[in-house]
Amino acid sequence: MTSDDPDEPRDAPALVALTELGRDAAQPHAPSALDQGLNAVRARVARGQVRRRSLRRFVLFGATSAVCLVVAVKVVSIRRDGGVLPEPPVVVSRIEGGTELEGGYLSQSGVAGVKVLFNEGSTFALTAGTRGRLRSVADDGAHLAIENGTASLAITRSRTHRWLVEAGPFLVTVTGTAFTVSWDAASERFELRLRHGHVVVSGPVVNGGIWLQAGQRLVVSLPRAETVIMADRPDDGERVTTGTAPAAARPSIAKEIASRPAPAAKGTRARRWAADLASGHWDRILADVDREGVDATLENAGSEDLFALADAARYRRRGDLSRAALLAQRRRFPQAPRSLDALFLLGRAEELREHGTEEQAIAWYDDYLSQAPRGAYAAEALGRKMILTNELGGPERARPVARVYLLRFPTGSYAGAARALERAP
Amino acid sequence: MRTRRSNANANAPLSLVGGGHARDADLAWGLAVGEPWAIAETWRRFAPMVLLTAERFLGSRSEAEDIVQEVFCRVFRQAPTLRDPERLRSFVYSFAVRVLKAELRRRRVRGWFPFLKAEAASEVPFRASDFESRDLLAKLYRLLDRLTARDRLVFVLRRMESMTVDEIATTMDLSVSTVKRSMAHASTRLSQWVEADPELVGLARGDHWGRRR
Repeated sequence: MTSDDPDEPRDAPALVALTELGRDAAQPHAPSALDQGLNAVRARVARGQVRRRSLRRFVLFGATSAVCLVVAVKVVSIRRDGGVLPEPPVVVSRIEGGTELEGGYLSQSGVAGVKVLFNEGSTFALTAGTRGRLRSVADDGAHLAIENGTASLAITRSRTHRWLVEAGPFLVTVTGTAFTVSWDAASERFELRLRHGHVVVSGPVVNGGIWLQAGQRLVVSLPRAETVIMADRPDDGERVTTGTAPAAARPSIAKEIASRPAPAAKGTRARRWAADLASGHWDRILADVDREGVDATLENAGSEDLFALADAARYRRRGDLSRAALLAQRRRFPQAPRSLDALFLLGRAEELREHGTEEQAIAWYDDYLSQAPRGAYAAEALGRKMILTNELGGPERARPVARVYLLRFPTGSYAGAARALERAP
Repeated sequence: MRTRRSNANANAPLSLVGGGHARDADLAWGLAVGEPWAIAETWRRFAPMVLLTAERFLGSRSEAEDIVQEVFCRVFRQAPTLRDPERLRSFVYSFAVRVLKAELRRRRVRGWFPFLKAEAASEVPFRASDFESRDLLAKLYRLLDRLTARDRLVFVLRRMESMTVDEIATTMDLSVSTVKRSMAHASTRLSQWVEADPELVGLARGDHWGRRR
């Protein structure tokens, strides 16, 4: 988009592309549709009616009684949802002891480390000398990274926010928790001490995702291909010099509760597929798979890596590989939240597959809708099911799906198609 | 009303008869006296433009259709109040802007009413049938939802409708400097939000997933 004013700000390239997409998506209406619109306007003008809006009728019914009713319903709604209110987007509220540089890197101004405070109460504190960065901070969470050193995190529990912390080649998926994580790039040693809550750690040598509970400590040594999970002792190891005080120490259990060697990476680079995916390095992920072998990858990769692989393969139109990664995700991590998403994406992969069938895609969407009726992809799954049903059996068969869609998602992306199906002869 | 219509007809230019070639000022005269041909011609001339603007602003074709009906009902009712008949186009657009702003406010109010709130976000045109485009557009409209109504309107009119700053100022009844400030604010904030999203940044590099069929 060009600007005729030199003082006018330049949009980010991605925003320019997105704006063009939005502009081009709207297409002129057909003359018949315009005629219908004109007839409707004429009828309204003739009746002298103003626009009917349910909210307006509601206000006319009586402001006082409406407010009372709304408050009552809101209270009931909040109680039913476990007291959960809509959550604000995550933003950085301030940075203590340093500044943010280009690329999200955190520069320390003193010797006490740097601490990032977020608006919803979460904190990310780097010890002195630690190299870390804010990869992205978005509405639905943040993606942080430690390239070398130790950081302490206290993440406020949230229903919708998703926090990812990269430490070297490891990826820590966080909900609500407090922990200290470190990555020593020289010795290739990863360590995570979990004070409370739980996290999932994925990366090389950990044989898929590792679920850690409060009071546990995970140490991974890449050169020794060793993964050790032990009970954490509060007085053990280094302390973070900035950040929130550690949570109350859990009872010390001296014995090691788990120690398992893991296969060494055979000539492949350490997996950082979630990061590669986020950076758009899809070919790098696929090259890793080609080097390691598809079967071995599908058996060894962690949940997040499989998901990243499925996306990368999808983006590169390798539908069969994407589908295989999603099926591996379902088989190996059936309890992971990603497994539900995989159901929907399997439907999409089936639609994209050279020899895929509409029936099988519909079956995947049905599975998703039955297991996650209010899931993130519910509207999309139902919409796709409606479209495919129409392709298979025509409007007669698709109409019931369209009705359900309109009831559940009256302003959804497929609402126009659903209405068209309802009107179809 | 009857008398007024007769008087106006008596003074109406001959060009009104055809409708299709009528100037905006002629249309305004026709609307002021309730001429059916003027209603039809005004709709034919301006409705497609307002429909596209509303659709781009709201991200929903069905809502845009409702909005446009509302806009033209108001235009037809208020036409006698138009002081400068040459400015019919601005007159129509100013109603569109008002109705769109009201619609945004209504949406926000509805957000507080769980029983009035639909489950899905903005409808994206059915034509954008590939999953990724709709996903990206849904993201765009979620970002636009975070702007104020004024910033959003200024951004959409400037970037999607390619209106000049002066035209936006006239349509929205704002000063040029206010439009520029609003545009700068919208552009900066949207750019920051977009750049914080790796998927959207990928879009700028042309990483866009197509469909098999």
